[in-house]
Amino acid sequence: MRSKKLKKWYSVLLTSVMVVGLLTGCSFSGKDSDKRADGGEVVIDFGIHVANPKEQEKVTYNIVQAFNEKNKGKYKVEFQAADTESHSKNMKLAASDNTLPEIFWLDASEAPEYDEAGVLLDLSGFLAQNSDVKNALGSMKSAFTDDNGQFGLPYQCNVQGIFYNKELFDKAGVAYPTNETTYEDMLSMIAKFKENGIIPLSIGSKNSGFAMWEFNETLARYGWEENIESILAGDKKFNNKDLVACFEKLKGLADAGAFPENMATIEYFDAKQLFNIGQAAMFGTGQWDCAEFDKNIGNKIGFWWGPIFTDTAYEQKIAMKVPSAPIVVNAKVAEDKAVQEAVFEFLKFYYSKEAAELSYEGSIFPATNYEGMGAADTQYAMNAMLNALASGWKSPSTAPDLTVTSAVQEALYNSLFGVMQKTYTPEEALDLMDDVLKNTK
Amino acid sequence: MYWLSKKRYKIGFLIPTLVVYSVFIILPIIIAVSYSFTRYSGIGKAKFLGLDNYIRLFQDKLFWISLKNTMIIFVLAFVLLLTVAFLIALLLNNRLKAVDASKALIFSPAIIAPIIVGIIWVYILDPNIGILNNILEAFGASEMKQKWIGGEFWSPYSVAIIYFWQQLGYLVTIFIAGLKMIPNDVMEAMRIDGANGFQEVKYVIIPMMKTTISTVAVLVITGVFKIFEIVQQTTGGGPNHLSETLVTYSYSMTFTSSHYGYGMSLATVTFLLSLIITAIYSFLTKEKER
Amino acid sequence: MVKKKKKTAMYIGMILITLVVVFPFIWMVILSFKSNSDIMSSPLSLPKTLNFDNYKNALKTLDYLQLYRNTVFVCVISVVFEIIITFLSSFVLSRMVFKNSKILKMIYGFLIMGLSISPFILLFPVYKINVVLGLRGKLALIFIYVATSISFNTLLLVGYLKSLPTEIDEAAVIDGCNIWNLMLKVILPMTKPVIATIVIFNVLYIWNEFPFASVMLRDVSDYTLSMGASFFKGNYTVDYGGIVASSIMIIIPELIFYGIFQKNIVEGMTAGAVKG
Repeated sequence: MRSKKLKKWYSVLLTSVMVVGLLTGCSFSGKDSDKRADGGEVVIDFGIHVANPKEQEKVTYNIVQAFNEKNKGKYKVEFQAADTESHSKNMKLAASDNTLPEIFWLDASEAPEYDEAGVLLDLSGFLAQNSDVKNALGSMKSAFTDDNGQFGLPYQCNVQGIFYNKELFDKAGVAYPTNETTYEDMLSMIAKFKENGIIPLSIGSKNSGFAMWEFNETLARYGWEENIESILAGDKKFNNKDLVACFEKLKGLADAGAFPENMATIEYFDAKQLFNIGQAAMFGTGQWDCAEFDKNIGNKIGFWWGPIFTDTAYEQKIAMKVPSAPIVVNAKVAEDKAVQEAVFEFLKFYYSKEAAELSYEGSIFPATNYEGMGAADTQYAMNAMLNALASGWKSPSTAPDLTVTSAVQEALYNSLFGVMQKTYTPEEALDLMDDVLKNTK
Repeated sequence: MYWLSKKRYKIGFLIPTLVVYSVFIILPIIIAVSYSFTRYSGIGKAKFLGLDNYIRLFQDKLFWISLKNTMIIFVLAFVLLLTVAFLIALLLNNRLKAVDASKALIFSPAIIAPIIVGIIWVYILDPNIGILNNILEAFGASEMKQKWIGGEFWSPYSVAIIYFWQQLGYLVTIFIAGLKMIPNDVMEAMRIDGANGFQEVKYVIIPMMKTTISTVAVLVITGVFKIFEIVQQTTGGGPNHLSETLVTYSYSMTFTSSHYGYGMSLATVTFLLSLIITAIYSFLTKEKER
Repeated sequence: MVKKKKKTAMYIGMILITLVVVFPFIWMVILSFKSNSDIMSSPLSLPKTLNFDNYKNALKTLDYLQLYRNTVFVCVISVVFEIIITFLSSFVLSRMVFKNSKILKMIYGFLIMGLSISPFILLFPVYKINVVLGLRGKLALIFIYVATSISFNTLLLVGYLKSLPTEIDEAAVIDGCNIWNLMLKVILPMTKPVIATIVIFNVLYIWNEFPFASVMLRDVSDYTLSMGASFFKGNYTVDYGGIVASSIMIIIPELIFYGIFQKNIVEGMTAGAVKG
């Protein structure tokens, strides 16, 4: 009896193994390393930092589709997609065994490390060949140069600052912020919002240290760009009087109750939702959220470069239109002329006017600068940004948080949020950054 | 059974397991430990540092905080899981209607994906939007409201509770199984002697379940030193790493901060701690058995 | 009278405990019928209507057939393979005689040690080893899953096999069994409950495993179920509705699987745990 039952058990198991084997065609699907598919088209991989580019990086997806459509039978770009955390691990691992995709997105703070390891292609040759791309990129490309040349090109251009909900400002009787609005004005704004039960500035720190974009202006207005080189060289410390004054302002915002009480348990997404549903008056982010705000807030949206500060001599008229993280090219591409041609053709298209138009349609600022670009009337959030940009304020060449290596960057995020959550005093927070810098030298 | 203990059988049967285990577990551990003596960002070449990472580790305030949090979770989970799971097992070991359904339902948390466990518990424990604080307020006990997660003090306790919830069904099942092994006549004899429920548990059940208890204990000890997703999803280790456990802290150093070498030194210490505590536990219980 | 009271108290206890433990699970099912912004803005409210959008959206975003197929494939091969090898090695460790019993204990301790290691430590080294061995994709994943199961399986199997009286072996040998017959026809059938336990825990582990899968699988066509959630959480966007719905679709097969094997778990644990 027992053994019969057992036999049945085994046969079920065996059949299921076979069925599964058949279903999957018994292939373990090692990827074809041959870059030329049957139709003779050259296939290049684009490693991207989201798992589902169609939904999560729509503009890039559309550009790639347009390129593939145009070059049918000649070139084809395929995504190698994974969520940001996995993508970052995957690229590191792929660098170790030479299986990097032809083109891939990299975190700006990690890219120089890849370049030092010699796995990235110098793109200055590409730029020399394509002067129109070079011109269109303008100063945007300078963020990704080092001794080895042009190791990457900006994926997009990030415009970062504070979005605000005009409806809530009206409700609380607060005037809309302008380019002259000072930090002290902001504090009184916060007090009024508090009285009206509105969260002044939505922000979340859980797994979201990177979501500090609105404070890039604050850092820049306390001389970040002017001092960062000497700090990194060891001539100066993060714990200096400029940055202490800067961090004091963050503490001031926290003391005034500017942030959601549960900022430690909400993520960037949840913080954004508070703004979307009209519980928070302001939210710091970049152009990637424009489409979402158009849907949720519509024409009530405004955009502001953040408060100016009166206790410092550094330039206050600073905007934040900066290169985003780079896309880079695998150095191996140079070994195969056909692949290199395909990659360069794609880059040419990616930075073309046509792609820029696609980009504007999706409310994303491309890294390139072409004449006659604009947004439709219903792209309210993007128009608000274009308005702010019209003031002509200068932007630093790189966003402050992207000027340091990943370890220091992480320490910067930790310190900023530490001050905002009152776990660190400004001095303690800056000391932590100095510590990490010392440990990574 | 000497005749079947031939060398070729022993070796032949052990080899597949030992080879797979050595290649995919032991060798990686050795590689990981060797990285703990280097500075390495994950890309390019590692730079040998000697013991620097370990020296830094013992001076790292956050290491001690995560160790403290891990120990809080360990003590709480250990005590709660062993006692409560045991008591529930005693309860569910009775002939009750629908007891099988109850067992299955109690087991269900073990199979919910960690990201969902995180989302659900945030909605329970969040200081602002969470159910718990809302209930406390509704019952007029506002002064009892706490930052269950996201604060400095309560986070490890909350993590321990979530871990408890997740593991309960799993351990209850093991305990019930152990209870089923106790021969009926032993219980009968006790009852005839006029023992009450408490005496029964103390003099018969616990002594006869020693090995079951120690299996559960080993699983709990090693399990606590691997808790990762719960913390990652509920607090992300925050605010500012203050609710970090050893595993989440080493993970964040390794991958988020790209301190691969330092992260590995943290991981090595965690691994050793788990081994040592397990060894101490088996040593202590062994002594008692003799 | 007293007995009845006691029984009532037991029922109340059982129902309370079950409710408390199951509450979050039920809540998750409720969440899956709410829109994404409802989940974020009013997580506690009940859905106004039974809204299947999250499921439709999840089915549209992901090729579940492919995901199930890959997961089942990896699961079945890994579990069959790991049970064969750990059964053999546990048989040696529990029922064979060693001249030096210290060697036996050392091998056992060596194999159990793996319980203490958290998987993320292994990520990078294992990848590099796989590169050297030329293992890629699903095959690479299978070897890792087999390896990570060894400690747990050894703990359970050795404990169980030790609890079987040695007289069985002797009787079988007197009846003229050779070692294969003894293992396959006598011992293995008696081990069925503990093997069922191991199958359950290993399958559940593989079904939910994310870190290794996300590093080892590069091709979308190789993706397993646990990677589904990342399709709903991007760099700048999150779809909680999609995450919850897709998790429920991952859990349903698990619950069915658990339901079928549940009786065997209890039996299996009985045996495995007692001598643990």
